[in-house]
Amino acid sequence: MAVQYYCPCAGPERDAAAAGPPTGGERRVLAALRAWPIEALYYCDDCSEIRCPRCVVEEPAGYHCPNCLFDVPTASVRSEKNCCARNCFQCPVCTHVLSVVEGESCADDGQGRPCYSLACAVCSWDSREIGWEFEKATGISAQIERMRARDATAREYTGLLDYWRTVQRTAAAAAAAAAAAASSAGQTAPGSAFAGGPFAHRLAAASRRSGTKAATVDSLPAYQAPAADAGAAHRTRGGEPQRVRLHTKLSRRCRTCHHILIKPESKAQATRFKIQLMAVNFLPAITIPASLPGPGGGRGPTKTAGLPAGPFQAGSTVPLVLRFTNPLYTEMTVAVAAGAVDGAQIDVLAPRFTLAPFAELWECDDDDDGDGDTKHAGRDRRGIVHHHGNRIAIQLEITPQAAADSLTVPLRITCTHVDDLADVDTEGKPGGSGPGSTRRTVESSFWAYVSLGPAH
Amino acid sequence: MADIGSSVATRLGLAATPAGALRRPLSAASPALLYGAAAEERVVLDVGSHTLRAGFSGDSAPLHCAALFGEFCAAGPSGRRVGRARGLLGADGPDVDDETLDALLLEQIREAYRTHLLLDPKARKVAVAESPLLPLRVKQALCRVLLGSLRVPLVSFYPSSLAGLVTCGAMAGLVVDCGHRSSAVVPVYDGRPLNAYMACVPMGGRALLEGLRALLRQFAVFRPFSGAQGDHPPDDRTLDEDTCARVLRDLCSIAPRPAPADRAGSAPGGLGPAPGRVEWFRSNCDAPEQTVRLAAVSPAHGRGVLLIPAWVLERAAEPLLAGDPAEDRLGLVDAVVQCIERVPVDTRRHLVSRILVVGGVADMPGLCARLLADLTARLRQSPRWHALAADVALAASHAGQDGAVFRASERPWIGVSLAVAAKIGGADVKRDDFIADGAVPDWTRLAQ
Amino acid sequence: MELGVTTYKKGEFIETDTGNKVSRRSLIFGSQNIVLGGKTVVHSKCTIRGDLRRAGLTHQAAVLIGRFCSLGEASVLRPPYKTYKGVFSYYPLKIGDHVDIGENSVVEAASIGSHVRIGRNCIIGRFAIIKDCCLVEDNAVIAPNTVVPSFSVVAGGPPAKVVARLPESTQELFEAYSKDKYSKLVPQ
Repeated sequence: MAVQYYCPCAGPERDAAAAGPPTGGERRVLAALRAWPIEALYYCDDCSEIRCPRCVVEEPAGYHCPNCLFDVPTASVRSEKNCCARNCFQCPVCTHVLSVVEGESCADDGQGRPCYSLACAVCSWDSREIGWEFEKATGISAQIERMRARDATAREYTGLLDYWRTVQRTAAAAAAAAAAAASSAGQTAPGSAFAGGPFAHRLAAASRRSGTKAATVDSLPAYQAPAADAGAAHRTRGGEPQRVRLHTKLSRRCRTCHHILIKPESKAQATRFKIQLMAVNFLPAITIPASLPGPGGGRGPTKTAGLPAGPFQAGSTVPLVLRFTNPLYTEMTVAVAAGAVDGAQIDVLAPRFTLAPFAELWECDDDDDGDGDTKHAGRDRRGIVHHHGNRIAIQLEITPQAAADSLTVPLRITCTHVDDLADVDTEGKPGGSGPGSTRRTVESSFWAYVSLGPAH
Repeated sequence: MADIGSSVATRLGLAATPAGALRRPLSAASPALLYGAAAEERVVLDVGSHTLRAGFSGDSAPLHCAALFGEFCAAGPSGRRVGRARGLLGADGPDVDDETLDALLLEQIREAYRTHLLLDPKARKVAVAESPLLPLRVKQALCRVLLGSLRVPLVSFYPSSLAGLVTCGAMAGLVVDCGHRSSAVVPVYDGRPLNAYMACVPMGGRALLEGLRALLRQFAVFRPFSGAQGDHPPDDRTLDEDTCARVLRDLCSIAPRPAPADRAGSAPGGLGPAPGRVEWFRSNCDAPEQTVRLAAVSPAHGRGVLLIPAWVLERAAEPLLAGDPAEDRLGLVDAVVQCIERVPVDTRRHLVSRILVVGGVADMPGLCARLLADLTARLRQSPRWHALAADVALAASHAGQDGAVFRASERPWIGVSLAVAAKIGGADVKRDDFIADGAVPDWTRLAQ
Repeated sequence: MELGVTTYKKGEFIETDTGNKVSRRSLIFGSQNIVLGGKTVVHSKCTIRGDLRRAGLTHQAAVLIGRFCSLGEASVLRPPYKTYKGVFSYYPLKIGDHVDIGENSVVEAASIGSHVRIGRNCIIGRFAIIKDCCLVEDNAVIAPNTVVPSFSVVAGGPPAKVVARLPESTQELFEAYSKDKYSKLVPQ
């Protein structure tokens, strides 16, 4: 991840305009959370801004089981506790999905009927280890639910819930009576005491005010734990197979304008999207060319570019070549400015250049053939080392002022294009809109980071 | 205050109920069936300094339980994010600024929504179990993330000490909360956490982990699979955070008896326990085997096994319980005694008879029993507390022979889940109010 | 970082009409049972076991590979087998388009979707199903019969687990990558 894009979002509810690039060692943690490869970013074409997975609003749009790939209707997701209701279970030891195997007959009847259990093909765990045997190979999860209903944890929870409901009702009834008494006596209601939990406060207040012993701690019936079922041994949840958690497909919206950025097809198997506004399709991709044709104009790679490796010495200038690729069917003007870096001087030799529109033609074009003619155009521009189709490679010069192992080069990139208002998906003609059509100039700017030196 | 409103409705609706009806046992059917799942169900979060638990109210266990990280780095060709430093506020640096804290919380809470809760955060109110030691800035960051970023309509906070007691069906007790960074003993009386009388020790999971690592470094042996190389003392990269955490979670327990007083103290120079103490530990180890083997990897010697003396696994938590005199640190037992000293005299007997241990460390087998034994012994020694010693008891109800029904570490979460399902209100922060004034209720402010 | 141009000696690869490039040093068994979709590259020492197919007279191919795939050096593609109702049999191995299989990886999957990248030294267990748009990180061991859902990143193991989700642009990304990789494999 040599080149990272930095989303301008500044965390929840903060002024986005104030957000600069995070610098300094102590903000490394933040930078790691806010920088993304361009593929992971979205682009809101209403706001003309990058949106990252952090600053979009996510909404589930369809649920399915990741193992059996069955679509689960939204209505039954919660009633199944977000898990697959079919026969998908995970091994408690290694999390592999368990398979139903036929075992020897159940011990207690001598009939020789087959008996089923869940087994893990990876770690050889078998559900008979915890006493789980099934009479039928189908509907395993219903059989397990029946066993779980007897489970000590669930019983205790239900018992406690009933108890606290009773307490709450008693308290509420007493408080209502007290409130009535208090209002007739002209007393004001007590302020809420957060620290104690309002319910306790009301409870105490009720008992004090009404003068009765309606609901003090001592007079309430004490909680009785349900008697332990002799048959149901206590088990820890960790040792039981867990049902496979469902997956969701997410649709994403811009959090400022609520424009839909991603809308998937709801079917589990589909990988297409009805709406897909990704940054790759709107902003120039920045890459580091592995090799560039040399100045001689000969065929084949003669000059290797690549990423300059550290350590960097003070005072010696390191060249850095970056290639910009225009994904749009319209011409794009790109301005590149280097941000301030501690301990290094960065010169952008070509601070402003124009990228030709993307055309299918260049895709088919062999890389080497195009170089001959296009290079002339590029050569007279200072700082542009290579020019081919919708791609331009520019050179930066980095002069470290102190020796360093690694360097991060922040670049403020502003790209402008004239929107031809034609849908990008329809036939794209470069610059092919009529003279009378209304055009709007779209400008978007963002920070990109180029990390040099050993990976951190 | 939507929640107060709903409880008013309950109040009015039930005011006319005859008194006898109150004692009638309610249906044992699941609350979701009785009340409709979506309307009142809330997301319940327990954001500790080390672990995030997330799930839904009315469930008896959280859906998701994962470590919180204080740092992320990119890994693999996809640049996926991998947590690095365990614990929200970093392993050693207390200085993360608010923006970073927000980003860390957002990343991890959103992941819980995305992969486990599977719903739009806007769709459900959230209830949060709040530890008394939860820093105010974390609480504020939590509000910013939940209300601001995720657009949750309402967040209500429940004190985790009280929530723990709710799972025991009690409204009073002494809650010992063993967290990752520190532990607190909070008295709760009449349904109110008495935070003013709280006693804290800076000992918790992290100190335990460090202590265990030091013991392993000193007493464990790494034996590579390639036989030509002999045994080595394990190095720091073999004993990484994950390995130590695994040993702590899966292998460690707490021995039922403390070392006698004449064996106390640490080795000269402060490096681990004194030789005499080690000898006593070794000879008083109840484990059937003297060494425990664990697969491990050493960068220098490849794969191999870690041979750990069994007594190390039993005694790793000694400093947590008894404190560390060498570093002048108090232990849990000291904190409990301190707390008993502070609470009003008439509540002492009541509180001491309902001790509840919660928190991540509390899952370690034998902790409750040992704490109880040590506390009783300590109280017996002192003429002032001698009379109390007989009353020391645990609050948690037990089922069967092998321990409590709920996991100690999950009790605060389960308590909040119960409280929400039973419509017991917490301290509410509504989205609109928070956006307007940014105020977060907190007991530290209320006390002023 | 862009991909560099890889050159090879003329004659190292056999090029078919549809643009497939098969290394002369690859080990291909039962080539009549193998289908390559076109513009697919089989690198040296790659083993494809087309001879392992269902017994009897079937016209079904044993290994089906789509377009723009790259089968890395010393990788092994072997149709999965099982004994069903007492009969041992091999089942076809299907691979979609734009699939990149890294060096030294062993694939015994039932099917691999399109736009999938498998790293180096991976093992894809028998009858595993990898859906479209997935990334298997280096050294992952996917257990037999595993289903890897679309847009997953899988790592570690055995058994490998889903550790992350891929962005929505994965399809275009992997497609561009495989085309780029194909175009940059040129004779000297």
